Formats: sequence, structure tokens, C-alpha cells
Amino acid sequence: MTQPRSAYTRRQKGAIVALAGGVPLLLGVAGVLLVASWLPDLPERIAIHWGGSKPDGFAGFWEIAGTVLWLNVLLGGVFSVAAASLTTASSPVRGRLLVAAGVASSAAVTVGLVGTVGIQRGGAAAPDTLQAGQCLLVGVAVGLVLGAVAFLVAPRFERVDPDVEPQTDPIELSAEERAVWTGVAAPDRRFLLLYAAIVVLLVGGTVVGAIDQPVAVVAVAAVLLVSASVLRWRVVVSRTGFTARGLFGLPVLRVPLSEVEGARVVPVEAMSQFGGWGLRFGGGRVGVILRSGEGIEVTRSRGRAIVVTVDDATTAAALLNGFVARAAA
Amino acid sequence: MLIRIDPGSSVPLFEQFAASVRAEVLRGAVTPGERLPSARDLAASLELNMHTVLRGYQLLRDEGLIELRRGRGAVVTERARDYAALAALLPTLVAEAKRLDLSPTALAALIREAY
Repeated sequence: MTQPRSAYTRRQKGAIVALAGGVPLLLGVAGVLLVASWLPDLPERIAIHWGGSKPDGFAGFWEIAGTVLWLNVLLGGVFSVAAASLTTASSPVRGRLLVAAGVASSAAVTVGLVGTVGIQRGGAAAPDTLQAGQCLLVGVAVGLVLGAVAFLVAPRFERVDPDVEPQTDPIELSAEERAVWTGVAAPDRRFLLLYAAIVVLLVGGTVVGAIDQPVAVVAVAAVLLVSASVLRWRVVVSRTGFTARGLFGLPVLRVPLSEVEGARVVPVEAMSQFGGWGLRFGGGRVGVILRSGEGIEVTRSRGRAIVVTVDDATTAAALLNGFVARAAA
Repeated sequence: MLIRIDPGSSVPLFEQFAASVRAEVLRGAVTPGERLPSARDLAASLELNMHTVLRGYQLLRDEGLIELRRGRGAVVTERARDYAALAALLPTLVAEAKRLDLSPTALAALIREAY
């Protein structure tokens, strides 16, 4: 089994990472320089926080400069790390979206913050809450526009399909022979840790009382129940076709044998191909994605292909293809 | 876990079933602690009587390979791990038997003699 090749050439990916991380950094530096250039005109205590209708928090130049820089470093870091984890199977749009999101959020924050400082130049009275809010709105608007521009100018390229695995060789079944393959799709450690963290947050929030509305408690219970139902899947290949069933018997993904076009083993990357774990949609396929690594892909005559990350996928695919071959004979 | 049953074979169905599960343990496709599908589901998939599957499971339980618990179904025991050494020996044995043109039955008979 081959891992997916990188669809982004080194240079393209480098450009994406640099844009996603670099533009926020540049905006941050530019914002700080702008504020610094206003320094002679600025009051000693610059309003930075508002409560009611008046400012209730003030800061000096260095604190503001630090905040602007720090937020932009953070945003640039987040988006460049996300861009660095792009792979082949990621759609080409994803890279441009990451750049756009990085630029937009950075511009919104920077323009909003620097703007509220800007209107305090020249000994004007400290702005009231409405004016500060307007600055933030302008920031959001500028962010959206710059984000859209970034999306348009970010490097784009053709999608390179991951190496196509051939259909798995079928197991030869005699006319009378009976066979079944069963396996369990279970989460890997990364996913379990993430899930445990969410459970702790939600349950902890309920216990501590941060989540105390009855509706919210019910919602927490529902979220836990629904998410637990996709944690573990029983996968069955039998004479009737392919079935993947969730922990409580639901949800069920079923492909009758007559609709199976073929099965093969495919490399799966949970984040880049399906955007996470659980019951997912990605690249025109339905995925039961509980880890990265090998999975079985079942293509069907009606509807989307199904991908399930399960061990021993080769045997599962071979048996399913065996049933298909026997039915066709 | 792949289970194959040949109704045309002279080997009883429940023994074929047990042999399939055993082979999958040897192959490492089934690991200790894993819960096997219910006898009812397997019987339906394999077009077998549920009692045939249960009898196969009982055979494996008597071997100590699985535990049968009411409500929990069949769970593979730690003993499955000990089969690794045996699994490693098999290819040599089979290769040697093939070299001598021995049928599987003949090899099985030799093993039975050696016990």
C-alpha cells in the first residue's frame, strides 16, 4: 500500500504556508508601526476595553503593540501549521481557504485594534463603546474583503489524485461455499484522547454548573450519545453485501451485494481527506473514519463510495470482490 | 476475521467453523480481548443453524481460546497470544509436507500419531 503522494509541490506548499503564516505577521508588524507613528498624538492612557458605554480599561503603547503582535503570531502560527499539514488528498481549495482565513482573521483583529487606537489621536475624548464597536465592525469588513482577495490570489493548482489502488484480488469461492468476514473499526489513541477531552469538558461543565440550563444538559447528553454511537463499528462482509453498524446498532451503512461495484484497500488520512474523525463526508465519499491508515473502500452503483478504516481491510475487500465475482459468474 | 465453510466437505460444519476461527487467531486477525460476533449473526451470514455456530464456539471454549459469557458473547482469551509460536512452526511443517507430496490428511494423521 502506498501513502498518498503530496499533490502540492514543495514550492506550492511552501508558498501556502508562508502566506498563511507570513501575512498575519506582516499585518501585525504594520499595525504596530502605524500605532508607533501616531505615538506623539496619542494620549498616555489609551482606551482598550469598554464596559457599559464608557471605556473601562486602558493601556500604554507597549501593551497594545504586544497584543497586536501576539495575536497575529498566534493566528499566523495556527494557519501555517494547518497549511503545513495539507496533503495530496486535500482539495486544492483548502489551501487557498486557509490562506484566506488567516488573512481575514488577522486583518479583522489588526484593523479593529489599531482603529480603536487611531480614533484616540490628537487629544480627542476617549471614544465611547459605540465608536469602538464601529472600529471592530470596520475591521471585520476589511478582514472579509482582504480574505476574499487572498483567496483569489493564493496559488492554485490542479488536484493530483492519490495513487489509485487497484481493486483487491478476489478470494475464489466455490458455488456452495459460505463465507463471512467481520471486523471492528475502532478509534486510535489520538482520536480517543480528543474524545475524552471533549467528554471531560462537557461533563465537567455540567457538574461544575457552567452548563446548568436544562436544555443545555439535555443537549450535552444528546451530543455524548450521538458521538459515542460512531465510536465503534462492526463491519461485516457477507453474501448479502457490505454492512457497517455503529455501536448501538445505529447508524448503519449498508451496500447490498447487487450494488457493489468493487472493493479495494485505500490509504486514509483522517484530517486532510475527511476533516476529522467519525461518520464523515469527504471527496465525494462517505467515511467511517476512526484513524488514519488503511481502510476498505467500497464503490457502489448507486450513491457515494464508502470508506471504513478497519484492520485487515485486504481480506475484507478480497472477500467482497469474491462474492461479486461469484454472483457475476 | 474470515470464516469459510464448505458444506461439501466431510468435516462437520461446527469443526470447520472452529477451525476457521482458530486459523484467524493464528494469523493474528483476531486478538486477545476482542469480542467475536454473536452466534446468531454469524449463523445468519453463513446460513448455518445457530446451534452449529454455538457448538463451534463451545469447542473453542473447551480449548481455552475463547470465553463464552451470557450477554457478552464470545471473547478471545489471552491464550490466543500463546498460539504465536505454534503459528510460526506451521509454515515449515506444511512446506516440508508439500515437498514430500503429503496430503493435508496425511500430515494431520502424522501429527495425530505423534501425540
